[in-house]
Amino acid sequence: MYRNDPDSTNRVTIALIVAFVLATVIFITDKNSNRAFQKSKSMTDQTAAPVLSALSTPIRATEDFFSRFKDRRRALEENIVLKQELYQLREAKDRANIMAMKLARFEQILKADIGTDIPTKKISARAVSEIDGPFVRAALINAGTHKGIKIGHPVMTVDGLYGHVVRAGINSSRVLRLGDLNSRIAIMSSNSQATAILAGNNSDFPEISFMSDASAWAVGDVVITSGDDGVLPRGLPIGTVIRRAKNTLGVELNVERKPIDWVWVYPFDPIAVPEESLNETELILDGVNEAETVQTENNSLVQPAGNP
Amino acid sequence: MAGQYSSSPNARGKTIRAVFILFFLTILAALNLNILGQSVALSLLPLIGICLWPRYAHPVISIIVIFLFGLLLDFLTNDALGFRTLIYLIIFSVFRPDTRSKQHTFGTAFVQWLGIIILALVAVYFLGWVGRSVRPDLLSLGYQALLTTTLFPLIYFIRHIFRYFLIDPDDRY
Repeated sequence: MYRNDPDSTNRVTIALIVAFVLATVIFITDKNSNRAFQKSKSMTDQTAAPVLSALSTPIRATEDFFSRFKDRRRALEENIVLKQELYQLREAKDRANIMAMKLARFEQILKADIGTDIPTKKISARAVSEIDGPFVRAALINAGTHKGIKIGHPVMTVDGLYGHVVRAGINSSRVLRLGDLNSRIAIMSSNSQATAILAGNNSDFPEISFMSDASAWAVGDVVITSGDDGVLPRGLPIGTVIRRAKNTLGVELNVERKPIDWVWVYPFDPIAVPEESLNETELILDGVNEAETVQTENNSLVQPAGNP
Repeated sequence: MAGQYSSSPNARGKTIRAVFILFFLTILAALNLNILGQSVALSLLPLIGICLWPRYAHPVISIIVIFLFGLLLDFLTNDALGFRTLIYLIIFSVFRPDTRSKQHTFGTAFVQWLGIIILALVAVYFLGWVGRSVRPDLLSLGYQALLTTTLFPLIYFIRHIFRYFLIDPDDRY
């Protein structure tokens, strides 16, 4: 038997050493260079998305079955709560309509555009693979550039913000979820308007850091995107503030612990970065030259507009 | 090389079955599951495939297969490439299914599984720490380990039934 065959044992040992070296090289290369395997990763996403989508169909059907069963069980008590909520919402809707009319009138008088920048267009997709690993919190969705998805677009569920696109292929996209270690989102408290950064930490409760005013944040505050980063639109719902261990504040995400199947992507184009050629030094020099020209021509101390 | 395995009954068939099980578990690990509203992560599930790897499977081919499946799961989960490959190889080289002299019973398989999961947790922790300069969330790791351990008897049972009914009695072990 081969177990006693020293030649075979040597071959296995050599194979193991080669495999270890190769795996270590790949691991280190991928760690140090984000672009090293980018094309391969994108190609794998393209291939895997339809396969995983097809394979997840029976799983989704089973989930739906249990979900429906659970919903039916509590339908009666939910119906009572929903009726009460409906009466309250009817009143709130009437008030909101009046407020909207007032707001439109004020906008007209002030000639101000204070509308939301959340796009009205939605690109629907299905989350075919969701990873809750100790290092990665990502998802694969079955829509890509052919539907207009680009890197940075926010991904939503009915409950709130889910993440943003970090890699867009033709038919699939990779979504970095809010809990991922690399996720950083500009947020604000809808109660106090205080801003901060939501930093993912590979747990269910991302941390609130870089708070503009720590005293303005309180447990229970509703958290939305602030739009300060210029990457995501303002006002996307995220979750509620909770107190974490070590007396730090975190966010209980609206999307956490809920089945994620259908999502939509907002085709939000971030605020464009100013042209790189127009750096600060050039702007100052241009300003000085223009000022000198004007001074010479008019023989007076007139400064050009925009350069105080 | 094939001559060295002439005493191994149907080594190729066993390797193919092991590959099939590992593929199935890898795909399951890459899918998002929600059981009763709870998101369930099963990224350690393919380790069961390595634990139950047939002792007569060709060892060099087994190493290549394990290497490739580790890489596949890294690709599917957007994790650092080589991360799972290294973990699988560590598990394989420590527990070496090809050196097992006896067929697994459920008891021995479960004890080995406990050893594998502990080693895997240590490897994940330190590889993550060294490779990513960050310590993994222990709660998430522990939860995944517990969940996978709960599923171990089920997968062992399914594999056992599959082997018992579908495979020739002379070729079972």
